[in-house]
Amino acid sequence: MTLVGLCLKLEDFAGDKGFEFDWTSAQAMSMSRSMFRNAGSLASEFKDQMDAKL
Amino acid sequence: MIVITGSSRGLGLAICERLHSLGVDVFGLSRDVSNSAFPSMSCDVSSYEEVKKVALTLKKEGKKVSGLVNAAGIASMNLAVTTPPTVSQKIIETNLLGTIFCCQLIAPLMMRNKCGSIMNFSTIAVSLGLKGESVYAASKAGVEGFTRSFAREMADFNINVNCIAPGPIDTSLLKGITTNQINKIVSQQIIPKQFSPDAICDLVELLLDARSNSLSGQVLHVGGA
Repeated sequence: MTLVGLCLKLEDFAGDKGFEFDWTSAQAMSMSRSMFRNAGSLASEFKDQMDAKL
Repeated sequence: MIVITGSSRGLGLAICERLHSLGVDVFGLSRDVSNSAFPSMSCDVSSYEEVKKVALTLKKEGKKVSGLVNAAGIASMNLAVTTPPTVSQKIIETNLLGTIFCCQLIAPLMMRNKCGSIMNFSTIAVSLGLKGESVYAASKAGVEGFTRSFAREMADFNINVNCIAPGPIDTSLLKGITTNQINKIVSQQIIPKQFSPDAICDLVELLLDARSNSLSGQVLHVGGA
């Protein structure tokens, strides 16, 4: 549940930056490609979404 | 603010009117909000995208959501073998997926505040296994299972999740059911009398009250079953 709390904070941070952070995509369920594999993959996904939407 | 689905008729409307009359900030969701006497937004709960739009709107407007009442639901009394697939699909999409989508997308608004109460709706048809209601009962049994698991997930965020399971309440959902059929179901309740929407509104008020915060993951049978 700490992870969920972190995602909520990232969602708020994304809102401040002017984009919507989607952490509920089907890709998030993938064992090999999930953004939740580790802190690095989550940060990388956040950056990718930010770059794509801004 | 309390978000209530199915706010244009039946129990959803009764709950909105009760809370609104008490000065509670309510926000109704329904496919048709043209005649709404309280703040509302058009939304088909079986559409993930439409529910997401509602959640984004509430978030952008900075609304502090402290409750969610998932009262939207449809019923179709039919033997399972004579129920068209489109009807089965619509019942599952509205009753089960609609409840899941609203919980998934509205709960995060409450999780930020670390408090809240979510109420889902089941039916006496689940516990009694009523003949002619198998698809409807299946959708609501799913809601009960979801409620129990989701309550555990939400406990860390100080959010209570419960399920209200009424017997036959006098609303438009009972259209097409004869008085004899209703009486037969009512006679199987622990308290063998038909309750009005007021009994449901009382229970919703109770579950919104901080004094009920020891209750979560429960299925509350109105009338007893």
